[in-house]
Amino acid sequence: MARLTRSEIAISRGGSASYLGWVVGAMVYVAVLAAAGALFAHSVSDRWSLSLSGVLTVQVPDADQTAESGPAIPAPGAQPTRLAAVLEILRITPGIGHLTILDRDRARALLTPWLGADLVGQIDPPTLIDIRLMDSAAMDIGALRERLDRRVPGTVVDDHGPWLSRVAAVTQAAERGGWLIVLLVGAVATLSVVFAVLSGLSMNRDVVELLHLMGARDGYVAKRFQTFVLMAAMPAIVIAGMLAVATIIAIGAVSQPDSVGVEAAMGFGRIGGLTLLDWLAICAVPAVFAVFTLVTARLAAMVALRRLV
Amino acid sequence: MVRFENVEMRYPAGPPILTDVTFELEANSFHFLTGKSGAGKSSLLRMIYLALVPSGGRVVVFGRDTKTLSRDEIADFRRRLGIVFQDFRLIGHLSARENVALPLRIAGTREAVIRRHVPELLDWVGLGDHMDALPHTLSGGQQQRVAIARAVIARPALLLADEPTGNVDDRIAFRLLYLFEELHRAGTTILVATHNDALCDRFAHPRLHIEAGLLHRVAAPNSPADQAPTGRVVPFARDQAEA
Repeated sequence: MARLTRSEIAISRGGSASYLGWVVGAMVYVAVLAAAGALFAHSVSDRWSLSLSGVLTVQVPDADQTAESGPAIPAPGAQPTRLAAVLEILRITPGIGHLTILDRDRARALLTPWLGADLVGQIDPPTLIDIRLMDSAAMDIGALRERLDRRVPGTVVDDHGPWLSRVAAVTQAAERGGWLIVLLVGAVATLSVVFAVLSGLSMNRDVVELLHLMGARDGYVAKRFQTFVLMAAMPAIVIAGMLAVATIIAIGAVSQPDSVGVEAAMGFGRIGGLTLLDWLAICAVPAVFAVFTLVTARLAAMVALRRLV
Repeated sequence: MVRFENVEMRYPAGPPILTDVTFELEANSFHFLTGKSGAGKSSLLRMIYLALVPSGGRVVVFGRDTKTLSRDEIADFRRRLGIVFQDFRLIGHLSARENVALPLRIAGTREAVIRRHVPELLDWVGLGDHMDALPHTLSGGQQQRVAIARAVIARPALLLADEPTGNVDDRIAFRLLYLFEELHRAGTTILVATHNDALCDRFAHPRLHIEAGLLHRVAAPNSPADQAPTGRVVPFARDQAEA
């Protein structure tokens, strides 16, 4: 015996409502990619600030020339080099953990891949002192700068602050932009569900009135529209969600072969540079869309039905 | 069961349809509602099934003033009514079986019960062979019987029929009325709007006659010469002939 399950509401017969699946599917695809972008931007910004905060670099030009003696310290014998003078000051500065000195040759070696051996041979890079801070709070960079400048003029203390804040600004903008896109796309999807329900209602006005006359409550009628929206949108949401995840993995895979050095440090090693938690969030996007779609359909139908009669 | 107190009905433009209508339908009564077309028969029925609010006076159905009902209460009230519409109002993309099942589904009846009752009733109105037919493949008379089956499937306390015999010849009209008689005997209150005098003459029930905005009660003819036969009637044989 045939099951009695066909819906009274016939929305799928033409009308803009039949495009609901395509619209919602496209929206979910964009939203998932935007969410992944936002999460990725967030994790990039996290990693950069983690690896660069607590780090200072002191540049000492002409490191092996003798330091001029400060007015307070009379010169008893052989003058120390500028580098030695800087190290002396750093040694008594509180908060410093570990020092690494990159002398001129190592600095040249570092620059060679970027500038070429010829050019590097002609320049005289400063000696770099890479400092890991033990206790960033105890460190007074302003005071250190002043002291160094007085004793060894020309030294530069770089706390990467401007660079970091620029990275932070860019990644934060990208992250916010990503979430904004998710919101906008969600709003558009919500609107398209509302319009689908409204056009379905007006196409089925006679049937809706008939159902009411037979004693159907608004909830009963609204449920029919929810079912329709679910049938139209759910396959699209699932397919679009899977396509979007595949896209993210593909992008991750494409960027993988070059992932050495900086990129590896930033965590491109993981799929698409995203953590498990990020992936859960990404997969939650289509689920949230699905729930939103259903709730929207119900609300739209309930409100419209009250206005109808 | 239904009481009208000084009911007035006027549409925004035009003269009043009903000016001062007062009457009562007792439980388990059977009335015809007559009057010229445009006299206000449909408006009166629509007020009973709460699709129309009177412009004046009170309409009391099942003991409640219809103006005091909330939206959901209206829905629940309507489940106790069966309505046969003049133009049937079957849902075109649903089969006869699914159309008849609607009131049960709306009332939240279990599927198992629906699967048992719907074919039984369709069989009883002679459409056992057309259960899965879509309305447009059925004749006018068959559609009408689907509409009637839908109106009575949920065992309503009150059955309203608006010109149920408007589109069929007298032979079929009489059969339909025998069906209503049967329901009446089973305890349903019935109000049939019609302008078919032959029906009113043949079936001895009191008439509510609308004329010039007023309603007059006309007693049943004294000699019910042609009462419906007693006992269970099968008003329609499984038909092929009619189509």
